Amino acid sequence: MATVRDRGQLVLIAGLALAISLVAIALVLNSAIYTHNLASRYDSPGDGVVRSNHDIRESAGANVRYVNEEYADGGYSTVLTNYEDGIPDIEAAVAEDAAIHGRLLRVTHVSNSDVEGVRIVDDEDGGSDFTSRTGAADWTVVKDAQVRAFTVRADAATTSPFQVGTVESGLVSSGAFTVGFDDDSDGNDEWQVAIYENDDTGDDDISVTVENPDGSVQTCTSASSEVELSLSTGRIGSEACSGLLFVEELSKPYDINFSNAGAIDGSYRLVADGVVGGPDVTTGAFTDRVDAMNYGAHCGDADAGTEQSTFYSADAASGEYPRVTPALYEAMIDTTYDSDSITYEGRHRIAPGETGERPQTPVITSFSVGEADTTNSSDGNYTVSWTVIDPNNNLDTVKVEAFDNGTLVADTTIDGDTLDLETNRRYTFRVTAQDTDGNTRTASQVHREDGGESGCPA
Amino acid sequence: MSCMNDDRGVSTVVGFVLTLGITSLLVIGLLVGTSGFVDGQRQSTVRDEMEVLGQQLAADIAAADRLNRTGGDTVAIDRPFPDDVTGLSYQITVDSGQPVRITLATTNPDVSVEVTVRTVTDVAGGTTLNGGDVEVVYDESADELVVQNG
Repeated sequence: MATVRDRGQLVLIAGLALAISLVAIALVLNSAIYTHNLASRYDSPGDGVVRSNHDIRESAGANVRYVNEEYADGGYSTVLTNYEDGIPDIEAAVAEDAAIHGRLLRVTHVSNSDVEGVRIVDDEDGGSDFTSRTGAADWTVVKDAQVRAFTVRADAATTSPFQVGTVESGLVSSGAFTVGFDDDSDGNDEWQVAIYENDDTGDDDISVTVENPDGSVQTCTSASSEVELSLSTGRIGSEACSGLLFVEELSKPYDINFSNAGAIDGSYRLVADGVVGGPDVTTGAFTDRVDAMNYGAHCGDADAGTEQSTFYSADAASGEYPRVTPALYEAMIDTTYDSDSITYEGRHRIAPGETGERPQTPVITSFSVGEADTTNSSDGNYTVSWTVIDPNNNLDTVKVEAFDNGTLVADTTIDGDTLDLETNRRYTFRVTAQDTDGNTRTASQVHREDGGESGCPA
Repeated sequence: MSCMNDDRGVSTVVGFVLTLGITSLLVIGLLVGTSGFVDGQRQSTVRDEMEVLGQQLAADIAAADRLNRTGGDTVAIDRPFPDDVTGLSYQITVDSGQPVRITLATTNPDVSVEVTVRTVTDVAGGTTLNGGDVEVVYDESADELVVQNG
């Protein structure tokens, strides 16, 4: 009977070993299924943050555009207050969507991150030509500044027609409206952009011809009767025009000049990194520079009878264009994003329509020259004062020089200093702000003792 | 009659021995074959799983890099990785340089998988982690991404 109990051991062991093997196979199979499960999961963890950031930046950019357009008449403080008031609305909109997906999102304005700018606009109802307020067809629009969101809307029906070949052989000389960019202040526009109605197509089409510093030209045409061109993003209507992307290559700051401004009809708007005195005044370092370019003096040309006039209007009610108004150039916002797998805090700069690097050059926010004493023989004593800000906080020196007919007669680096000068002379006072990187910006005013601060040459 | 009596019962014994022998051969063959198959499948599964985990970590590093470049001062991405792969514990090694090399390895059996990813922000190298939760964080003071156990 003992032999009977021993039988079948081999089969038993074999069965056990096979069972273990099957369990091992099951485990491996399970892992393989889990691996495929892992591999097929949605695997782009940063997308939600990137998408939210994009929405926030777009919304904040639209907020900047809106307040610059709607609240400029109240002055810069009103513009800024309304911008700040708009940020919680943006947060509410994006945070609600984030909350639905189980994420926390916060958007806040960074205190004191705002940079004042100046908005230049000519958008009369029904369009107009691009001449200055005094009717000049060739004039300087921006002097010594950097611009963003530069758009031109042209109406083909009322814009002067030209043949492409004629314009390409000479942009300004052809008579077509031309925007010139001078980035080395040598008086010659290194880059030129002609905007005109294309006479070759027979339809109301707007064409753009760009001439590079090397003389090569490129023309883009949009088959629309009314076209908006973006000189910041290189677009004509809805199409890309790579020739317009040169703004990124300009060394900053630069000048923008209009030529043949009577040959176009439409509107334009841009924001520059300069400062005007207020919502209803056209004084300030920015307009001083522009007026000095156009008239030879910041307050007009006495000989031509245009004293105190300016190429810009600041009065919204007058309906006169082009206007200059205080504007928000840029601001910063902080965003916080929290989900089960991602923690993110970031700071974003909001400057819609800007190409290339952010402004680095110091901004002269105010510059005034007053007569120290006009009641006695001390006439000729001038007090100079200024305020300068630097976008990247590396301001080095600010210097004021007084020139008598091109000859330096006095200088100072002390704000509020008094310069003792001879009476009955016509002086040009020039303030130069320089940062540690060598970026400089200047503003000039012409003065002759007149008993006040208006300082127009007699 | 005596000779005839000597042959009796032999076929039963021979039959039994043959049955036992053939059965043993079959069983041994089956066991050897099965264990080899299981081992091969296990290594293959370990490699696949670590490849997936490596790619997920690479995706996290790339995402942290992207978030840092879009203005992020504080960036942290957590991911719950499994403690083991197919019952084996594993190590994750991150080497700096471009491209960043992520190596996942197990011992016994020795399986190693390498995944690479290119980043703009530097990644702290020489880090060896065990399986489990893994976190990619941005170290602002060193301006680099750090991979650590969460």
